[in-house]
Amino acid sequence: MDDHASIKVQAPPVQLERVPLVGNQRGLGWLTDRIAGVIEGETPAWWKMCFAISLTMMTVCFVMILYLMSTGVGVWGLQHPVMWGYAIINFVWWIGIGHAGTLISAILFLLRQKWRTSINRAAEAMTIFAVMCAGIFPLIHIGRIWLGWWLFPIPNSNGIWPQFRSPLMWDVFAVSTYFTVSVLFWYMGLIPDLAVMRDRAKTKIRKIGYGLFALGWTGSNRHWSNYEKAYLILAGLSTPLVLSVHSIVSLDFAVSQLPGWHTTIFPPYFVAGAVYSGFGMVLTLLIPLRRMLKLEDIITVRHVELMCKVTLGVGSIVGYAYAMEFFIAWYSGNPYERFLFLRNRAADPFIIGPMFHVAPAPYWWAFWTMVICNVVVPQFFWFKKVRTSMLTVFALSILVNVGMWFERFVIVITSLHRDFLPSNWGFYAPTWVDILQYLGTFGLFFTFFLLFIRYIPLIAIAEVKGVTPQADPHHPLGGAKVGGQH
Amino acid sequence: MIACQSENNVPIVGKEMVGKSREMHWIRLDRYYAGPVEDPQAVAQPMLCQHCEAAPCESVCPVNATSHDDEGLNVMTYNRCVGTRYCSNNCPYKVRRFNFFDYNRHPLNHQFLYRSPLVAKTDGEWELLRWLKNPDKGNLPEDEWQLAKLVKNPDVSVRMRGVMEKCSFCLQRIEQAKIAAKVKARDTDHIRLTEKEGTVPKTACQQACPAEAIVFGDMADPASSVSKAKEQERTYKVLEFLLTKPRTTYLARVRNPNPAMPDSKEHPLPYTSEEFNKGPFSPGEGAEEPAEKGAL
Repeated sequence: MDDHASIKVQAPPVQLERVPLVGNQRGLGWLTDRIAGVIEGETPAWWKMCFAISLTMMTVCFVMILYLMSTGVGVWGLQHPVMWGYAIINFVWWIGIGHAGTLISAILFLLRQKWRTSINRAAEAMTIFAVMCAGIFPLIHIGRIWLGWWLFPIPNSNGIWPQFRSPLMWDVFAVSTYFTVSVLFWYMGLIPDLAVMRDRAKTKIRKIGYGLFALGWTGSNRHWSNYEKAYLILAGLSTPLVLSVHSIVSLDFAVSQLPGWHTTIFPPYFVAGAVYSGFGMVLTLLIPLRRMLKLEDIITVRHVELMCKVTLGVGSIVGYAYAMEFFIAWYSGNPYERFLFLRNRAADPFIIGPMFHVAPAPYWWAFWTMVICNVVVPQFFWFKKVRTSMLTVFALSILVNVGMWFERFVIVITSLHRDFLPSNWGFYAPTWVDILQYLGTFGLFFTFFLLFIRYIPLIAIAEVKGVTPQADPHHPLGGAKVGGQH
Repeated sequence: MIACQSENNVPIVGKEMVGKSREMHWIRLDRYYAGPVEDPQAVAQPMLCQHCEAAPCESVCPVNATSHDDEGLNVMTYNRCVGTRYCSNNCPYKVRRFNFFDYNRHPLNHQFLYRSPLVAKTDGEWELLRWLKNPDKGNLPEDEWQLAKLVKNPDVSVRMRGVMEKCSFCLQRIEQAKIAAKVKARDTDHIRLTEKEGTVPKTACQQACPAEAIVFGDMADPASSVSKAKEQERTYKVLEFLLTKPRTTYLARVRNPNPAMPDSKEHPLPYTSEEFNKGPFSPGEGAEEPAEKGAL
């Protein structure tokens, strides 16, 4: 048997011809030095300035909570019949942002998307901090904050369980589970990198600090084998959570009978919106960071482009959902739903309103801001020129989050302010407390995020090394070839 | 409305709060108009908690603060309420009212409502300390507190801030009547309240209404006036298609103008539901059926 004649030398697979995930053929040592250098280097001036601002805003957040708690929900702009306002809008907005992290780390991991390695750590941190910001709102928005624990199934003096038919109840479980699993997943992934920090530590405090949380990691084969198994299991556990959390949040609305809320499309529509805003936020955070921390070779233009593509995809789903809501309002023949979509939302004073001979909707500007930011803006990502221009992507990513905030505003406020009986129609305007409370959560978010980039490796060092060309001996640039060393 | 307010300790909230639609009245008068703007025909419809059989408010409350009792009343348990306000959002009649501030513990002045007890003083004493000493009195000045204690109906709980409230069909009056009937019944089992014997109580609004437009009674008793009113063909339920199955029903208004009167003229009828559905995007503004008589 002579098979040698039949052996052919095949061209390398296409994916090897793609732009490498780590630029400039950077070596493994360089990667460690650069990422650990962010923590080990001197504190940059911009960091100190941002941290001071964030800390101030975080203080504002807590002062506002104190004022609210001591005085009453009336300090907010809520009024009959708009019983939910900024608090719920901000809750849904932050929790939506918190979706990108787990999607990137869990779903993209299961789908073997190697590009996730450069961004997953920061995105997961963003998720955790965003969920923390989100978690504040449902608690403080209730009338008697000190009794918020009655929503948990803890035995209390009333002798009754919470009511499991209420979507608010489901929220408590969905959000707390999501937060717990996200933190676990994030921490799991951190262990090898914390060990790196421990081994590089030059001060005793660092050695003990990182060493404590590195849980005695030595990098042995057994450790890696256990680690990878656990990581896979957690990825599997997190994946359904990505879909469930925002589905449940959307049920807060969909379960009610209010026109504009009572829609079966809500769960998938909310999940798409959440991923859309989450990627928007990741782009907003990482584009300046890669520049300021000189990580352009690790978070490459290709990474940004890929994120833009995901944003485009989910953004288009969101646009489709908007169109479908209007179609169903018309097709169902429900006069209240038709009324809501035309007269509470879409009717502007210039085109749509005059076309249908109706008065402009009180919040038409909110609706059209949402449409422009969530339907028009992502369509720019079809163009490679846009995707590769960092400044443009940064600007558009901010618009994405503006749009998503207005989406929640439109859903919550325009549905509530004019419903079935005209005599109970009203209007809603936030007070200064609402606005400062919202801005305050940015302080909370950025305080944590800045601490994160300063004290925890913001890129998964071990994972990025695994996707460099050098790690793959079959890669044309891989193995111990020239330029593969550093 | 005033009868209800004094019976049920409904707080007076002041001009500032009424301007923000935060009034606390358990019953309101909705007005509907038909005909031309210059010469409209107006009808009023008292709107209060409809005590729905399939109440949308009940299923969304995470802490069971609003539920059904065995007589079919939709009752609020103030003690359990944490104030998520979801019930109000899900109420198609929007008849639930929320205590945005501690109206019963603050002088009714815009500044007092908005200022935090952490930084304010009343009668020269730090408000937080004052509140800790006597939570009931809160931050009312001494003289107002003495007065406030006398104003309230002792049979009805005074609600604190952060709690939702709504029409209870004067539950306290029903309870009093039941207790009286039980005392009278002694060892017999004749405890059912009946209209014939005059043991069914009147609600405060019913008692005060000179036109006797509000009827309250036992729906399970076919002889009661409320059951008879419900049998009329003019009877209807507000937003019936939502299947909330309200126990409060209304009787459509009957007009019988005298054509011989000098100012008599033909008035257009309000929209029928067919006309109402024909026009695209036409519901809402002034297109509801007129209504009058409330009945349980």
